[in-house]
This record gives sequence, C-alpha cells and structure tokens, in this order.
Amino acid sequence: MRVLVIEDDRKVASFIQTGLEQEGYAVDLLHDGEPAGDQAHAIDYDAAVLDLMLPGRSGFQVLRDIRARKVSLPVLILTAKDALEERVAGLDAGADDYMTKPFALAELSARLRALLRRGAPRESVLRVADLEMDTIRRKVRRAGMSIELKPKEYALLEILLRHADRPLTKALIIEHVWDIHFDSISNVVEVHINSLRNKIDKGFDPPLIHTVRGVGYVLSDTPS
Amino acid sequence: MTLTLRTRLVAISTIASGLLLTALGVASYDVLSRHLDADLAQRLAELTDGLHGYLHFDDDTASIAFDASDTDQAAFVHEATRYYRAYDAATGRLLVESGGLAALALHATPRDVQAFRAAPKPFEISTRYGRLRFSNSVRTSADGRTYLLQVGVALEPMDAALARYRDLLLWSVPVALLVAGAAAWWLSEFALLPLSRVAVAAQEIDVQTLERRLPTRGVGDELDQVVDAFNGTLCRLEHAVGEMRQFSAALAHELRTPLAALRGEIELTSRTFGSSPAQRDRCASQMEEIDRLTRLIDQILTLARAEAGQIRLTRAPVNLTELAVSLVEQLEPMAAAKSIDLRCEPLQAVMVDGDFGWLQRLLLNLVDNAVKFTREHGHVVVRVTREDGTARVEVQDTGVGLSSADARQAFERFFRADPARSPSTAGAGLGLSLVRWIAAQHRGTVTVQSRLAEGSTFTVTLPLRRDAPALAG
Repeated sequence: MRVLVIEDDRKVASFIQTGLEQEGYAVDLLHDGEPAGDQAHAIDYDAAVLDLMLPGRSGFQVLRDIRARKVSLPVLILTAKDALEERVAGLDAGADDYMTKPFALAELSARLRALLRRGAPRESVLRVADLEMDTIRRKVRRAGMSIELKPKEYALLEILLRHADRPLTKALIIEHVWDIHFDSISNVVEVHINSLRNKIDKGFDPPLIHTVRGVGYVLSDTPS
Repeated sequence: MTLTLRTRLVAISTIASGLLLTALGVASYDVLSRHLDADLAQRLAELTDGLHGYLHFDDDTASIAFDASDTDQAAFVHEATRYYRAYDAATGRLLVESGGLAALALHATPRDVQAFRAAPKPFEISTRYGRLRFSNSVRTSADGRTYLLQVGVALEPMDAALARYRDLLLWSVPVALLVAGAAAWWLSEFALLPLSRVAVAAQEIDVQTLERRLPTRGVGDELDQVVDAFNGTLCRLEHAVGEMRQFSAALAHELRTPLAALRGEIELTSRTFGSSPAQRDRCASQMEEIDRLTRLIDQILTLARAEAGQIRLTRAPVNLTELAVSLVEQLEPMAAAKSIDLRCEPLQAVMVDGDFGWLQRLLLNLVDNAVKFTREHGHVVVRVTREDGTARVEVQDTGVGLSSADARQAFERFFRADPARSPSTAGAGLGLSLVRWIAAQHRGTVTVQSRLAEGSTFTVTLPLRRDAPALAG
C-alpha cells in the first residue's frame, strides 16, 4: 500500500510518515502542492492524505489537479479548520474523508483502512477468538453462547470487530455509532463500552475489549 | 425609582411654570390692590374737596347746598354725602351727620375731634356695611368757623374686586399649570420622538449587524451629533470585531497544527517498541491533556463563531418531543452507570421550527450537565410541554444545585460553580453559554431555578411552530 502525504508542516508530515510506515504503508511526502498532480499521476498510489492549507497552491486546487488526472484515488483531507462549511466544501471538491487537526494516528490509519477497503466485499460473519457476529442474522455468540445486545451495543461491537486489533478513537466510534454529534462532552462511549464488556467479556476468557489510554478502544484477543 | 427623561422634563417645566404663575399672581394681586387703593384715596380726596364747597354753616348747624337740576352735581353730592359728618373743631360739637352714618352711631368725643384735628389723616373702620374709609380735613369756613369734615367711602367694592381676583387666581393658576403640564408632556413626546427612534434603531444592531448605521436627520442638531458619535463607535466596533473574527480563524490553524505535531509524536513514542508501561502511561496522559486542550479550543471557537454570527442555523420543523425521547434513550445507560433515574415525561407533542442539530446539542448539554452534577441514586427528568404558543423544555435534576449568585451567572462563559462541588469531569464552563446562544437563535430563552443541595431546573422556552396542525398528545 502506497500513500502520498501532502502536508507543509514538516513535523506533522514526519509523524504521519513514521506512523503509517510502522503500520506497513509506503509513504511519500510532499511539502507543497505544486507537484502533487503530476506525482499522483506518475505513481500508482492507493490513497492520498492532503492538507488544505498549503503555501502557494491551496489544497482545493491540488485536489482538483489530482481529480483531473486520477479520478479514483481516495483522498483524505486534513485541516486545521473544523467549520461545517469547510467540511462540506472539502467533500464537495471530491475528497473522500475529512479529518481535523489535531488527530490521533490511530484514527488516521483507521480512516485510511476504511478508504482502502471501500468497494471490497464486506464479510458477513466477523470473528475474533471465540466471539462471533453474524451480520446478516444480527446474532452474536461467544464460546457458543448467544448474547443479547441492544442496538447501540451491537453497532459498537460491529465497528470494533471490523477494526479488530486496531485501536479506534472515541471520535470515530461516535461518528459511526451515534446519530448525535456528542462533541466529546459526554462519556456515552465509556458507558456503552462498559455495558458491552459486561455482556461479552464477563465470565469469558480472555477479555477482548481493551482500553488504549490516550487513544480509545481496541478489540483484540492478544493483550497490548 | 428612576424617572424617564420625559417625566423629568415635564416635572421641571411644570414646577417652573408653577413658580412663575404663582409669582405673577402674587405680584399682579399686589399691584392691583395698590392701584385700587390709590384710586380710592384719590376719589376720597376729590369727594372731600368737593364737599367743602357745598357745605354751608348756619350757627350751630351745617347744610349742603347744591343745584339739584344739575345731574352731575346731584350725583356727586349723593355720593359724597353718603357717609359724612362735620364737627366744630374748637368745641368738638357735631355740626352735621349723614343719615347713613348716623345709623351706625359712631360718635366721636370732643377729645377724639381734637386728636383728628391735630393729625388729620385718613382712617378706616369696620362697620356692618363693611369697611369704611374716612378722610379728615380741617377747614375754616367763610364765616370764620374752623370745622372738621369727615367723608367716608365704602371699601367693600374694592375688597370684593380683590377677593374676586384672588379667587380667579386660586383656580386659574392650577388649571393653567395642568394645561402647561399636559402641553409639556405632549411637546416632550414630540421632542423626544427622534431620540426614541434612535434608541429603537440602535437596539436592532447586534454583533451580527454591525455594518448598519443609524440615520441622521441631516439638520446638524444635538441629536445628529449623538447619532454621529454612535455611528463612529459602531465603525470602530465593526473594525474590532472583524479583526477578532480573523483572529479566531487564525487561532484555529495556529494552535491546531502544532498540537497535531505534538500529539502525533507522543503517539509515536508510546508505540515505540521497547517503551516501558510507565513510559506509555505518561504518553497516554499527555495525549489526554492534548485532547482536552483540543476540545477546549473547539468549544471556544464554536462559541466565538456563533457569537460572531458565522454560524447559520437551518429552519425546519423539529419534533421536540421525539428529539427529547431519543436523546434520553441514548443517554439512559450513562445515567444508569451512576444509578441515576433519567426519565422523559413529555406530556404533549411539541413542534418547533429550528435547527435539529443545534436543538439536539442544546438538550444534550442540559441533560449531560444534569447527569454530571447529580449524585448517585438521584433523578433527572426531562419534560416537554406547550402553553400559549410557547414550547417549554424542562430539565430537572436532584443534583448539587447552584447558589442564587451562581445561578445568575450560570450562562456566562467559563463560569464554573464552586470547584469543591463540581465533579472532575466538569467542562470548561462553555456548555451553558452555547445553550443560551442556541435558545436565542431560536428566539427563545433559557432560565435556571436552583437551590443548593436540592437540585436545579433549567427551562428553555421556544416559539411553537406556527400553523402547526394539532397533534394528538
């Protein structure tokens, strides 16, 4: 997997590069948007991470350059602005996803994974250790025992299972599970994680849901 | 009690008119009485002088001789002889007395006559005919007799005229005062009308409409000067707010990029193979702090943008009852974790026009706060009702409550009640400011009633959706 990162702030660019490389991506860095279109055309990237505020050429123009040459390249926009209008403008300009600085590396890689998986067939049965989720029949079993989940708990478990072994940030979880923009003010995620733990981890071994301090939660059968 | 400018103007002008009218009344009364008195004194002198000419003495008696065919003479004598008497100046003997005076039986002793003779001045006496004024004059007749003549006139017509004038003043001054006050009230309204127009126009200007200016009337009067000065202030304010808006946008970028770098590097460090659990723990703690800082920046910027008018709300029918029910449903586990009974008691279906997302946020902030500040086994109740064209949302908790001083400033930015009673999870004190802003954007209000240690009730009122079809409760 090869990712093009266009980010003028060298420190931000450098940690994105290191973080993504640790996850096995090949990363190319550009510090301004001028050559982005050409480079995206010349090299067959799997995804691009694009900062909106670039010196010289704005991120929107760079996005247009890329779209003019390569229509299908998934582009994730990074920006320091979080105004709704900016988000809408970014997505309208052809971006596939949007992230506000500062962000967690875990979230960046989760979003990239989602972009890369797009179009791929979704598995109908998800499994980690002896936990099993049948997404067609909406049944959850652990060690062969059927477990009853409330709708929110089910949605929470599904996203954790789809990103198994990868930590998910609370922001990402909220975005996918709740139709409310909770704005991180409430501990609704913690509460649902706790009730989920009570149902799928209590009385079973090993515990599958782990808290990754400073990042979020991960579902994994190997302790971090 | 504060008095309006108009009331004060009217009061001052009425008091001034009152003083002026009273002074004028007193002065005119004084002048009138002096004039009447002078006229009377002159008439008395004329009567006395004239009567001397008509007096004839015959030994011990005196008589009046005049030409009765001369009507002028007859009228004069008739007037002069109504009250008159003459004494022999030497003996004090009464020589003649008019019938009118005789009826009053005012006899002067010889000693009195001597006193009159020594100082022949006018004098006044009170009788049953009213006050009379007498002249005293001493003359010597053709036959060499010295006599004292006293001629009287009635003061009653003068007194009556003065009394009538005084009565006139006593009712006309208050009436004039009332008229003056009413006129001042009307005039002041006329005079202050441009001022109240300016006030109305100025009230419509808020931080989102700073580009507006108040109209001057172009007459260059004092009011135009005030309006010009106010417009100048608006101009400077508009400039300052513009800079503030640019600053808040710049702040977002300037703070977020270094925070992103910081957070990313810490996250990388924590991932580094070989780092000890203690090191990872420290990194995690740093990331939590950065996340907190980020949330704070987000909230400040949201509020700054909201107050700078950069956030436009949409308007669509929103079912407030459904909104509350679904929100309470979603937050219920959170309350249950603290053994708090979170219930929704929407008695009525309520529709409002508004922005679903922001209304959700308003309710979320209130309910989240209520749960946060309520101890275990407490209660939080959300009620949605309607009355008189107003939708009413109440969030009542049995939490720590607010003192009345705290309740007054609960909606101020960065307000946090006594930290000793606030849970550590409390935010930066911006949530309620946002609630107030959202309510105001929907032409609504938010208030709080609270008692320490008993709980708080936050009440939001919003205008009901107009022409909403009646919904079954």
